[in-house]
Amino acid sequence: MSNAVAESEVTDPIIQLVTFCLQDETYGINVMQVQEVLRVSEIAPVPGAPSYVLGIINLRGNVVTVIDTRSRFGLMPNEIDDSSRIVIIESDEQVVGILVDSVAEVVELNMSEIDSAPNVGNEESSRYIQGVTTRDSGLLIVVDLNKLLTDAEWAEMSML
Amino acid sequence: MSDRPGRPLSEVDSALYGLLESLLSEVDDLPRQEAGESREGITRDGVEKTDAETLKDSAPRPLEEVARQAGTEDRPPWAQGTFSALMFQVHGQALAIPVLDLAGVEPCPAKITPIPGQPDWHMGVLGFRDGKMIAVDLTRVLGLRGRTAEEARGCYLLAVDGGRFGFRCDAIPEPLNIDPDDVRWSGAGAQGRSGLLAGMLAKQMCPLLNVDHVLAQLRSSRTTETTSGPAGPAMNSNKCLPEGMEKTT
Repeated sequence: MSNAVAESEVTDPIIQLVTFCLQDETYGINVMQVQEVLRVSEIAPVPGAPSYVLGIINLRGNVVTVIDTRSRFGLMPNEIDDSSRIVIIESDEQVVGILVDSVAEVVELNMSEIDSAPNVGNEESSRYIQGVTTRDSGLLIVVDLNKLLTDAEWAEMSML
Repeated sequence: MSDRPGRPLSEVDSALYGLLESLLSEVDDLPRQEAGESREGITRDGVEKTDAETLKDSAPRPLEEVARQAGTEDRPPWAQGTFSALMFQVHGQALAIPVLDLAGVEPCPAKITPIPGQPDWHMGVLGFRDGKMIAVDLTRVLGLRGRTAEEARGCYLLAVDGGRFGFRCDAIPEPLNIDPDDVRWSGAGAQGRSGLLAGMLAKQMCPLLNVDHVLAQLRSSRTTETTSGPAGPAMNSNKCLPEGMEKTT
């Protein structure tokens, strides 16, 4: 019995996702890549930074670049309010922050539940969309943080 | 005037043939030999027609009649006999789709989840049976104009490609039984021009979708979107922005 459970976990691993909201849609990112969630403090703009960079914050003495997630996803800009959060993530050995409208919860699901629908997660412009999964509250869009930026953009980020 | 009664029939015939040719040239898909056959018919039967009768024969005819006289070689295999289609409205534009291409008709759900970085026709994803369906705004695919995206919010989804895509439409589709003779088929020659339409329903004056080509267009458009845009993802996707508004970042 336990062997069967172990085998199913190997073939269909369970992952945990931190979910956040952007313009009434819910997105999920791998919890293993999330370091912490911060209230939005002062974000200092960086002159000459790429358009997807909102600015930098001071995180306990470390400078962390914050990505404008709405811009990245092609959404309209929004005012920062009390529910806005900066999710500190680690991706490709870089620590960056992503600004989101709000953070919701941590959900657990099997990898097989993530459905890569046609035209979802297959094209260059949305390569960071890993897929979608159905939850009671609606569809959850799963984001692959490693593909949020291109290799060149990650390299550019590291030089900021 | 004086020489008119004495004009040889072949000369009149030749002039009418030219007229008929020019009329048929407006219907680009009709086989040219049809006019030739008609011309041969006069001599083969050996019946001499008066000018008036001949002119009556060559007068412009309704599209419905022209369609009926077209050959069957341009018809798709499923249209060799009477077939069923659904007529629906998108942005006030009537379109028809062969029932054979449909996987179902569903009312629009309360919410369609938009996915970032998709082509402009991609309205979002919704659950459909055991899988996911992509809602398609046909007006973007077909280049229809008129209303804004907000006004175009339809009520039903026509599921195609096994339910992978759903064409959003404004109202309950109307079923039709179509006689293939009542369709002006686009044929292979028209596919290079657009290929998105299988033909034109003559009675309804309504375009009939070529679903295979529409689906091919949808699949290829993602490549187009990808290659035409900047390096960054979603930078060429403004579907979440109002028309005319560009990203500020």
